[in-house]
Amino acid sequence: MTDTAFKGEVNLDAWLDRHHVKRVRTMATDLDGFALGKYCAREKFTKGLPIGHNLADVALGSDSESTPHLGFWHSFRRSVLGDIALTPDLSTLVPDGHDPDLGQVICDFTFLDGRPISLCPRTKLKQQVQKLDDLGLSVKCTFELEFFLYDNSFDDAERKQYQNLSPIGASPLQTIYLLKDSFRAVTFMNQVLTRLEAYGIPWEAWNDENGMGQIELNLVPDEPVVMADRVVRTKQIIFETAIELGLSTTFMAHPQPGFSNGMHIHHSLLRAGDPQFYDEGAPLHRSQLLRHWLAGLVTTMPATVSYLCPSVNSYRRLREFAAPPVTATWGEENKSTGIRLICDGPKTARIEHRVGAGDLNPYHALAAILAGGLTGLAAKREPPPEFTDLAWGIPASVERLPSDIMTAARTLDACEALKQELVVEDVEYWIKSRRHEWMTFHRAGNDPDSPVPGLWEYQRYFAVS
Amino acid sequence: MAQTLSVLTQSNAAPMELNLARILRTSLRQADGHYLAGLPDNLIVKDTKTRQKLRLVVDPKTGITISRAGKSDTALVEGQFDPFNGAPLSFELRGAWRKPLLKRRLMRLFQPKLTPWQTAAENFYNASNLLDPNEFTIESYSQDTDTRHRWGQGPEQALVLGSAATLSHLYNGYALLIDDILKGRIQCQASMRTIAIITDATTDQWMDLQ
Repeated sequence: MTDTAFKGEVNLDAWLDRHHVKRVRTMATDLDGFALGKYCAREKFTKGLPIGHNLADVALGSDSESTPHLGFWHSFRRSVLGDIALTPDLSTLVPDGHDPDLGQVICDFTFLDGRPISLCPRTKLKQQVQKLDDLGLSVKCTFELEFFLYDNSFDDAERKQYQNLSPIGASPLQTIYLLKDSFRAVTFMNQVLTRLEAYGIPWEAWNDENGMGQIELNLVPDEPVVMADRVVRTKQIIFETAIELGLSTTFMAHPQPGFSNGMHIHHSLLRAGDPQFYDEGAPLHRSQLLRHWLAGLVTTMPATVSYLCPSVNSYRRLREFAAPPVTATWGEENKSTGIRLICDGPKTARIEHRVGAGDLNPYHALAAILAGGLTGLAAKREPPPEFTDLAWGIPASVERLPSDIMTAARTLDACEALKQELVVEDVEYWIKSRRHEWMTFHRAGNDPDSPVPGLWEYQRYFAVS
Repeated sequence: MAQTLSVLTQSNAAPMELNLARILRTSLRQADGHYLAGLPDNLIVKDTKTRQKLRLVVDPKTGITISRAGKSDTALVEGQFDPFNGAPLSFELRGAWRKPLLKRRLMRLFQPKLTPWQTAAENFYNASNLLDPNEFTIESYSQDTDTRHRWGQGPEQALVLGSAATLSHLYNGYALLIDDILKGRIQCQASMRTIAIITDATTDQWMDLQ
């Protein structure tokens, strides 16, 4: 694994010289999780430090088509159209490797004087990590990335209105782990993995997934902000590789009937570097910390759905017997519940949160999960009974997770504990941004009952999710 | 009687359903519930823009429940139910033109009387929990009738200009401020923040959340 990150060396210019960096690309994600930024001349980039460069404040106050949020307000915005800053986190500065002259750095949205903006998704995640740090805890986590790969360019996919695309795979069957399918994607994936390695993003495995042309990629666990940064970079690399090879990819949650992209999130808590979920002396080896944390996650799960499933399209995925969970339940080694607990050993005990859609914003999703867990620790709550059956097709008395974007927003709005953890003004702005997304969907005359995504959804989410 | 009547929507109601529910609630309040007598107990309406159909189950004792109708259901009422149109619904009866009494009842149900715009504006601003009279001073002016309304005494100023009809639609809950501005129906001089907050309040009113 190449390790060329800047990581706070004393002399930035020396590092830039050593890696032949003539341009730097800044990158941050907006509320919807889309990567934004600029390509900066090296001189412009270094001159702007430590605060970084300006950009319009609506970058953090717009929808996925860059339509500014004109119908609701957040105090970070200026009373007229103004600027905010993208402040580089120099510990993330790396040479691109693929483009020999390019450096790449992850940024936070900040005020022009460098103060953090609480609404910034990356800042939101840092807030939750800090709260855990105050309790002497840290998090180790990773994401499972799922995406579809098509033998059509993005332009071709658009021309075909995203219908009848050619998934990359050998078999017309909807198989999983089929090596013949995987082999068809090897050229693409090898290029992706080479670039990940150049960025210092370690990966564990990739495989052919269930949908036709669907691939799952697993990254090596690390701490939350590092992992979310890696997800954003990996998605960008996957997109760029597809462009270069004349292919198209999508992380859209539900791009084809019957199959969806999820983004399961594994995590565990540590104290002074030692995992805390497994307790040899506790019943079923489940530590008290694990039980309280689990209680917080399950109790707030319906409210976190809004962050875990951010788009109108995300909710097409949450269907009974379609693999994603539909209930706020948990179970040991149960992949039909919202949370799958794996408590098999001191070092491997972890929680797999299975609600997240492929189009989630990794900073938001992790922040919401950690905030939920924190509510459980604060209340010292015990989790509801473990769900030991199949969690689909069960009686309606078992509460279902929100199944549409507005119900999810209302559920989040009603969860005071989570709103307090995530900062009330920020959560309310997020809720209104979801209302905006819902209204935009309906303004375009879309049918919410349509069993398949409409063109509006493809045009809005296919390329940029 | 009106207090006992409700208008319910399904949990994943679309804007058209919420907009219609608010209109029906207003009608029921205005009529003390009398408009429900003589209506079919199962009423299908169709929006000509989206071609979507809604089912209204009418119970004179409990109220109205709105849900989505099937594509094969026959619509009795068809028209412009687009909630983003910024105006009261316009519609016609399908195959029931010989029933003037039914038509009158439906007209009253789907088109409640508009409150005069200045009264509606006063009601709107007073009801909003987003707007503080000590923070904002909002003046609305109808150019065609030379009538005005002023609300609040705060330092944040806003001037809202439009015809009496447009202002009436806005303050009676048929439109969102930013839509009216973008479509040129209303001119508004205020900060971006003030416009956003008033728009947010009009959205709350439109969704019956105030």
